[in-house]
Amino acid sequence: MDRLREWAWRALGFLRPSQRERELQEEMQFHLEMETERNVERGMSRAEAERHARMRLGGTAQVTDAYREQRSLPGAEQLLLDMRHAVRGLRRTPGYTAMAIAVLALGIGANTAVWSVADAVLFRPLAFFEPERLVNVTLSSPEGSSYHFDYGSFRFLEGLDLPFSSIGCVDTVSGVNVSTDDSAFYARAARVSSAYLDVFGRAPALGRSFATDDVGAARVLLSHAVHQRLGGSDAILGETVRFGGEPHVVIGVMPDGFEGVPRAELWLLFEPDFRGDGTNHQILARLDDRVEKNAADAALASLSGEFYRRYEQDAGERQLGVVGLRQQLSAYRRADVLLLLGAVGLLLLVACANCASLLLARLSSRSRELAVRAALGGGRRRILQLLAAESLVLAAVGGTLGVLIAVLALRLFETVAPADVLAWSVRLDARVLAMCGLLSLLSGALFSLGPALGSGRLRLTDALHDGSRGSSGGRGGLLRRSLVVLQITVSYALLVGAGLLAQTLIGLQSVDLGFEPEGVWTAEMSLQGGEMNEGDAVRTLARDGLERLALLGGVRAVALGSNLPGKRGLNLPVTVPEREQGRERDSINYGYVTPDFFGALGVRSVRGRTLGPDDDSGAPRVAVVNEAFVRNFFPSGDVLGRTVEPLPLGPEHSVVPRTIVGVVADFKTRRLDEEPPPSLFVPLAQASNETLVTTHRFFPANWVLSTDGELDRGALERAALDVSPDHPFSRVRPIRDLLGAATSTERFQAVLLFSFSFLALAMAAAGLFGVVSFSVSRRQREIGVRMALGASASRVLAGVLAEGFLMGAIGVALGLAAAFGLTQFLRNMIFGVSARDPSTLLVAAALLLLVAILASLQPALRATRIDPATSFRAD
Amino acid sequence: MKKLRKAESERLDVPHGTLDLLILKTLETLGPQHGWGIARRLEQVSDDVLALNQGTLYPALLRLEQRGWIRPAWGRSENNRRAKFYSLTKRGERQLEVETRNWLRTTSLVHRVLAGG
Repeated sequence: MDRLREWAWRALGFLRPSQRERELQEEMQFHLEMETERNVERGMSRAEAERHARMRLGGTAQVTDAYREQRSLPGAEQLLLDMRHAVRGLRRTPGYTAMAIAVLALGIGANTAVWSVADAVLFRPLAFFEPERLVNVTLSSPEGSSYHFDYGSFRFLEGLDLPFSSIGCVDTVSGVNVSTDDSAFYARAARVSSAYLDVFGRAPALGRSFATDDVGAARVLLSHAVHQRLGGSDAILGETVRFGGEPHVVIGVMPDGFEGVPRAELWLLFEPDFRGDGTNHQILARLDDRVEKNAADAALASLSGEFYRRYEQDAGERQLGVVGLRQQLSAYRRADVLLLLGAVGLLLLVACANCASLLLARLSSRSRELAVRAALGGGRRRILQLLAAESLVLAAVGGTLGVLIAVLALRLFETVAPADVLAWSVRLDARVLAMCGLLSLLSGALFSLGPALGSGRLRLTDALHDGSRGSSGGRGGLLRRSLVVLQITVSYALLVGAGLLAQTLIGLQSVDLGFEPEGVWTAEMSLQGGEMNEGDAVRTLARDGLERLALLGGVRAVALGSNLPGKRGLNLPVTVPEREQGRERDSINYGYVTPDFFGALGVRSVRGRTLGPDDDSGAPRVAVVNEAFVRNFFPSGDVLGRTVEPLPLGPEHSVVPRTIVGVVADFKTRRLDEEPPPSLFVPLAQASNETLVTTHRFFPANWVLSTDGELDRGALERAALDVSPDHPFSRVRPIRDLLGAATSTERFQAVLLFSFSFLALAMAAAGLFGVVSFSVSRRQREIGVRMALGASASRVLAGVLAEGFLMGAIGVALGLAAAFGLTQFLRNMIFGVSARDPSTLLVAAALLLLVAILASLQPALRATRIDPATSFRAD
Repeated sequence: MKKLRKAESERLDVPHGTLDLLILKTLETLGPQHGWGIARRLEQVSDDVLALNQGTLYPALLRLEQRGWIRPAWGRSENNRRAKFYSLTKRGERQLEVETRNWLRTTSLVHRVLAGG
């Protein structure tokens, strides 16, 4: 404790110098006078008395030094002096200094930028009360698959005595129309249980949170954003606003920035008689204060059997458990972010190797100075201190500039990063800056390590005799070469990784989409709740919309459908009685469409027919399936005329068999590297109320407009108002954007890895250039002699080029081994290309060797111009 | 001069780590005292046997102050000159007790070992 106090004072003393030292001078002055007087009293002469007093005290300078050591942090004062010295030294060699700082700034900047992504996505605590106590209740299989819950499961768990202080349930977030008397907009709404918001421990900024007696009373809590759109007045409390056409009373507004998990903009309660449809629910809980996460996990696991007995089902291997909410939310991005961290870490390694190499070069040109220092008694430790000071100055300046580079890099990220990554609010905050500082220090230590080792081998006499004309083949030279080889090795591995990701991206973009995205625009519309619970209202709105939108300029075809390429649809169990293989009852991707849907999207009809206007409510029930459905149930292809029975939703509805009348080409749904799931499309005219209500609970309806190219958004929005003022359009965009979103992860990774590998390559090239050109100037006399003895210019040229090429070749060979190891981590991220794709490995090797030769070309040419006569004289 | 040298060689070094204890005890006995006064007192008590390097006193005083055991204040010396006086704090008194106990325990142990040998 008292020690801590001492060190706190020392740190303070370091920051606030001088005052105490002036006081010390006065104290010592007093001391000497007193001692002198006493000595005089003892019979000494004045001069002798003073001399004795000084002797007893032991020299004011020494006392001051010792005092300073105690007053401040040990070594800190000296370090400051050394750093000032280093700054002076660095300013004398501006070229070297600028190069080292640029390399460090790029390395640290790129790392800082990626760390701000990593911090936001993986590490920064969630902005809730005691976020570490928030957990997600999980149901998982031993293979690691996890499952969502149905509402009944939540009610069951809620009734048990669990180690949670609160537990809440939330349904899939879906779009809903918020309408007042004069406006309507679209917002993301979550249906929640009454205790859901309590789990987060954040009180509403206005009004109150949900209470159990709010269930069934049509009440709503707003986010700050929705509150602002509704005017932002406190008088909103108690007002009635329509959500999905149904009036709700506003009881509270959540604080600015609160979005909950999953992100939503307003919260509605489950209906009292809600029994749950489908397993789409997440259960969140707050751990009791005294309970550890592991204990809670074990407690839930032990309930798995009871949980399954409730369903009269085999418990199987699935187990209940808990996982930290933070962990859960970032789990699916963990691998992506770790990849980037690893790549950017390698870039920093290259930067450090480059800097070390520069430092070594400088050191060898300073070897005479250092030898003199050593000769004058500046021990090895002292030389290391000077080196450390210099590295610290470089790292500090590099780190500061690195922050600026990180700011620019984050701008770039904003244009290429996937939306869900940016939603974590990636920013440069104090945490990231601290990390940046740490990285700077670490790189400073790292790049001065090599030279520090090198300086140990500095032989005094050699350096003094040899002067600046040391041979290039010494150990320092070997160290520098090794550093260059290291840079090439790492650059190669990075380049291979970037190449694989780029090929993945290109592969994804040239995937057969199964439809024609050119000129196709889409718009979302929430049809959830209110009058839209009646199928006929949906059909009327669809008819009006199709008529009105067809009038827009440049529009060739219009359709409405629940499923779109790039997005998932309703997961619905169907029975296929005449199937050739597969399970009799299986979940498929289910959607409704209007007649022009496949035409507007340009989806090919493979067999039979598509759906037309004649397939109306009075006609026989029909459906169209995709090729994946055929592969799954009817591998022979004999599918037309077969029957399929979608699971009836709603208790009193009987099974309605549908006849399959056609097959359409597969079109990509969620991800471009995934096969589309078996899908079933039914005419909107024949869709039951229940399927429409269920579909619209989870998914918006999608308008599809096939156009000549551009679309007049203003005209589109005016048309939307004509169709229904209560059902605004949202997310109007070309369908290309949807696909872009599907490849955004790959694009982000490819762009970043390419940037990193080119930076690394440039650094490696500069490093190689430095070493080769250094060796040429060292060997000036030797080359001169050879030329005088008749060596041709081309032989000299070849000799120097070979030196560069050799380093490149060793680097590539080692890089190949590194790439074999490292690309294993890419296995799950690449598509359509092997992790050891020979052409990628070859092209990267060729590129690096070419760079190695180009980087040694200038010094090689310089070598050929050496004039033997001058080279002898020059010394 | 020769006499002085001889005296030096017979002197005892301050045992490592005991300077703090000696300073604290001196301040307890004398009350607030300046650096020279503490040095004088230590030499007097030890009959000049203790080879106190007076210079080491000041960093030690600073250390004790940093640890919160003593407190400095400017005042007037006996011959009416400005001097810095150090006094024991409450924490310093407690620390003195602890260190005294430790010292006595250590020395008695060493004594026992030596006597037993």
